[in-house]
Amino acid sequence: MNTSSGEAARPGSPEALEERARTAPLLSIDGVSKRFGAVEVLKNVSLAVAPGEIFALLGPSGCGKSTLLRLVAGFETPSAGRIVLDGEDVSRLPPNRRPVNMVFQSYAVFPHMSVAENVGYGLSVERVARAEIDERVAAALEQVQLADFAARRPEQLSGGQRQRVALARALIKRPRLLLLDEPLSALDAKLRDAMRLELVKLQDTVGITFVIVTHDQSEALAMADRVAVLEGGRLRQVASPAELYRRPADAFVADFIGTVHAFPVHRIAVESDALVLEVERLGELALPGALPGGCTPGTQGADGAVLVVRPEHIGVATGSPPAGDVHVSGQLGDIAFQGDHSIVEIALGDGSALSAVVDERTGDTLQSVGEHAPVTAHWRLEDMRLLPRDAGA
Amino acid sequence: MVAISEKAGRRPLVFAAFGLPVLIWLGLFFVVPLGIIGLYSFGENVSITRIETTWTLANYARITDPVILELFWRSLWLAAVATLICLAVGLPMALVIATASPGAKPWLLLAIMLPFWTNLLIRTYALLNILGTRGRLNDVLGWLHAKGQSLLGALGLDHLGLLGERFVPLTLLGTPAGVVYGIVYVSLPFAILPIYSSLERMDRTLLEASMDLGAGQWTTVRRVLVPLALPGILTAALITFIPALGQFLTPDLLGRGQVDMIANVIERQFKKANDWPFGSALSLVLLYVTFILLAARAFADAARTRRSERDREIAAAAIRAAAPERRASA
Amino acid sequence: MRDAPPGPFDYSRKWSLRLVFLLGAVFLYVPIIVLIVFSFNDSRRGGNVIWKGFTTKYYGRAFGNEELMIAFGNSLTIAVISTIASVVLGTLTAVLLWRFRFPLKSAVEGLVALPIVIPEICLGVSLAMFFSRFGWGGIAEAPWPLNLTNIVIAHITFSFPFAAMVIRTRLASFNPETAEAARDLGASEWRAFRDVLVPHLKPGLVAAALLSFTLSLDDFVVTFFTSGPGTVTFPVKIYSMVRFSVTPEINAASTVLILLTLVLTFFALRYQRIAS
Repeated sequence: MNTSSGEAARPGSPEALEERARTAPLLSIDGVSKRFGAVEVLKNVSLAVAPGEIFALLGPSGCGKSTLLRLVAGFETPSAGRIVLDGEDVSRLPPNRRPVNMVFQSYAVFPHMSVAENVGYGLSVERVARAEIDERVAAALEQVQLADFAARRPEQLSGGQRQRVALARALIKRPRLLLLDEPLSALDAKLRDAMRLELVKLQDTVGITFVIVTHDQSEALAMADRVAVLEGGRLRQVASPAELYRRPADAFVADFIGTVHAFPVHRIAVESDALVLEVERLGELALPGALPGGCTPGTQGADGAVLVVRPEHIGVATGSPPAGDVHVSGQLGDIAFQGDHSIVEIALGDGSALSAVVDERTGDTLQSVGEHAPVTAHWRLEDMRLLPRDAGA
Repeated sequence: MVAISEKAGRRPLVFAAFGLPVLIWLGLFFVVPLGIIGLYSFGENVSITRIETTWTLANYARITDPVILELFWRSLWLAAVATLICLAVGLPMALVIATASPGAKPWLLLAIMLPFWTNLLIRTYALLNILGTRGRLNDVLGWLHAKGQSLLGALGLDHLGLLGERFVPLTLLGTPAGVVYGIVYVSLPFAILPIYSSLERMDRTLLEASMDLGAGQWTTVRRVLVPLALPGILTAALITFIPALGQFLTPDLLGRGQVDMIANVIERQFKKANDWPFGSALSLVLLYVTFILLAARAFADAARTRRSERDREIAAAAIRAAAPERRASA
Repeated sequence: MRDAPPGPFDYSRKWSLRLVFLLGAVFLYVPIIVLIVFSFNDSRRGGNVIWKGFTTKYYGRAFGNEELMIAFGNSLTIAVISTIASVVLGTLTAVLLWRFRFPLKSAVEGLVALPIVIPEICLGVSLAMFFSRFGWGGIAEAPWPLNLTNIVIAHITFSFPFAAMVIRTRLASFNPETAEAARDLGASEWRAFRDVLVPHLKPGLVAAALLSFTLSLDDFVVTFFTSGPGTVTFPVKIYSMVRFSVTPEINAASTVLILLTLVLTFFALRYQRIAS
């Protein structure tokens, strides 16, 4: 990823974090691969996490993100590559000797111990004095708003409460790195939003680096400073949420973050200051900007480049579209009212369909026009991006 | 899977068709015989063939005889030692099976259970060849002794006589150690199963969480694994101890008359001494001990169920109390 | 190339634990293997502890031992009869507990489990007393197989709870609506039971039968107390031979019993797997 060189990066900004991740990372994953029998679950993954940030590992199920988390925690050893924490190679260090703690997806609260005993467990293992344990447990419980729950037993707690116990239990050890496995997936919608805010606030308060694993892209985008997108065991892109949304590295990332429509590109020609593309269903377009990595001029095969545009950027016109816009004619299909916006389906001549997200006013207009009416989908050229299908291939 | 539970009163005839044979059989051939030895225990021999229930407590009084008390004490002790050994050996073995690959698991289980399905008499008899002074165990120990001596010789230490002059074979037959060996031998597979099934159902992430928080292997086993596997371990202890207490064959064949347990004395009353009342009293005491242990286990289970029900009630009340506040923190 | 070193809880891959398991297996199997090996030992006296040479003559002796063969025949007869009765009684018990709700049900469940929980000697002694008190006169002099009645009754008493357990497992997978459908189509209770329930139970019945057969064949303690001079079973006969003198003949007879048990267990497992 390119940082704007020459600009002083704001502390805490994605650029500053990237800078720190490059020069003085807290966690460095170097060329890590992991095989289980004949199946290669992680393929040569390299990334770096800066101290103090919330870093997300995002990807569909089976992409290897949980395995990567377990490698960092120490429950698996890499088949190849290294895991470096604070400059020390911990790849083969057992989990109890790493300054890393994990909040498990199931929370893994010990059913045979009280809340206080659970939270104090990590300290009792370190042979910390009884009095100090009690003091620190009280403080930790206070921090996660469970101050009155010290004597309760896990079976008396709700899911959200058990999660806080797991959090307190891990944070009390003041680890260099806290790992969270799908922290919000088991919670219901309202609790999820609340917990998300709390986790971000908590991280801000304690200042510990968080690494979160999730399959939910909206979660990752909302919580994390930087996100690593994984698919099929490979790293696709590491960037800030905004960067991932606006400048995805390839078609997979573009589709995984939000939604996109993808148009296969048949041919790319490079001219003086623009790319001339022959695009399926759209005809010939001249796109400003440089050729992104992974795209080669000349004839593109089936695995070549795609041109993507997001439904949010597609407008629907009943008359003629604005001049200069890319446009496609079609018939008005289903309109899904969503309150302040509507999702409009436009059926194209070749049988495919586009969906566009329009504002309230446009939605009302279209409602009165009626189904099957001829409409034109349009968008600005600048809102399109030329992407390789796979940045890492 | 659909569960049904029909009220018996609705179809009395069908219920009787199923229920009566079972209840009659158990009543006639289980409850009544137990009742008989109950009655006999309060009786005395009035002639060679007849026993009259005179409601005497003489038989039970004989049990307080120091010789008999010592017999009970020894039986409890031997059974307890054997049970502890079975648990100590059974836990690691159960661990290996529970964490084995799914393909290996059924084979390992089979390997453990197979000896158990062999006749008890045959298994105990087989130990005669192993435990004797000229038996296989002493062969191995003698071989180890010889190897040890030659090793010491190679190190130039043989003149110190560390291993003694000659190898003295262990005498196990006719000793309590031999009987304990025998009881462990016939009970071990039976002890492994409940521990295995308890470990099998355990949540592995709890062990991982313990390690994640800094506990080493041994600490994790001690503070998380064993407490969570405790129900299975207690079941194993119970189903090992009770049969061990009532063992007849093992002390009979391996004890060679030197190591009597309760069952041997009972057998003698019925087969040789013809003192059925006393034998009945002894049998009943053995039964009482069994029932006490089973009842203790049942109470412990009930107490645990009651406590978690009470905990759930507390939790429900707490959630109800928190609901009206409707704060973001759950 | 093998994967990374064992994870923290790969106990089955840790050498120390593998060693314990191996030693445990050796501990369990060596005596049996030694017993089988020594059935071929050419030793007349001395307790069959020292190896003196290979021979198969003791197998011949065992098969030629008339008392032993009669005992074997008795054991088989008892096993067959008690198996059939145990399966029937076990089925009735299993269906009773599965289908009906009635007062004191848990007491009955406890009662059914008792014969297999209490020490065997108590069961043996109590039944011996029962038969001596209520035995119908000279049952021991009755013609075969009636003279085995007492032993058969004893065996049924301790095997049918096991049979009930096995059948109950199989019952759990039965959909009662199929029986209701049969009733709806006009079948009586008995026919619904026979035509719908029993066929479903079949693998469980076979497994229960094999289990009861093995239990009966292998039993010693209870049989020891309920048998008499004319009604000796195989294990009881072997016991008296052991008390008298230890010869390879006993090993030979034992090996035959082991093989028989193995074969039965093999089939029982096959059926258990089909049943579940």
